[in-house]
Amino acid sequence: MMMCKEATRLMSFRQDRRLTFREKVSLRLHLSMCGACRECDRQFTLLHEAGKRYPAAHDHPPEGH
Amino acid sequence: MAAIEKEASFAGRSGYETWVFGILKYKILDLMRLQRKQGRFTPLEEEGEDDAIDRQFQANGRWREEARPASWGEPDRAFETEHFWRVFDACMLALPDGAARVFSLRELMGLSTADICREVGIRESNCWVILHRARLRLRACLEQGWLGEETP
Repeated sequence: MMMCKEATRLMSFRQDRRLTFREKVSLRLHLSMCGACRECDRQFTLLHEAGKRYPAAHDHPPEGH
Repeated sequence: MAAIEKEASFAGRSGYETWVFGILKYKILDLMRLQRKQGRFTPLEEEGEDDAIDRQFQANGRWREEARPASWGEPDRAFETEHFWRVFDACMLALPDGAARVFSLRELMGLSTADICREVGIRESNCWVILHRARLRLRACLEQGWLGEETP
């Protein structure tokens, strides 16, 4: 059984690349049983959305990076 | 300054911002290429081995009780509050430099990891690992700074 730490890896990868069939199945299985990881998955998606809205939400570009 | 001088040629603010972001993107890429050439680009070694991750998980791979992700409510409402963006900025600044740059290129500027890695010359699998750590750090930081203050 995949643990939460590994599940967050797949949730993150999913924002950047297609998961393999096997990865998809094990992530889905884990998420179906783990509320904390479902929240984490929502948070990663929200981070992605926040990134898209970042330019509009700021009057100036970010400093320091 | 160059950006301000050019402002007149842009009709709307959003066009202007997109244009500034475009410049920023190339500046970040240039900096990362330079650092890599000089052997100073080592985002994977910036933090003690998996420090940010270890703080959130038990040895068996489950969430630590105090780090379990909580609900952030409706995303659309969050984006409308200035407080969210202040905390978001603070959390970005708290990221290690390399991680912040890769995250900015990927999520703020929308480059694919394939593009980032080709431009900077690191392996794509490294990018994925850097982003995983950056996201875990950001989510923990946002949850502390944002939800922590908002609940009475």
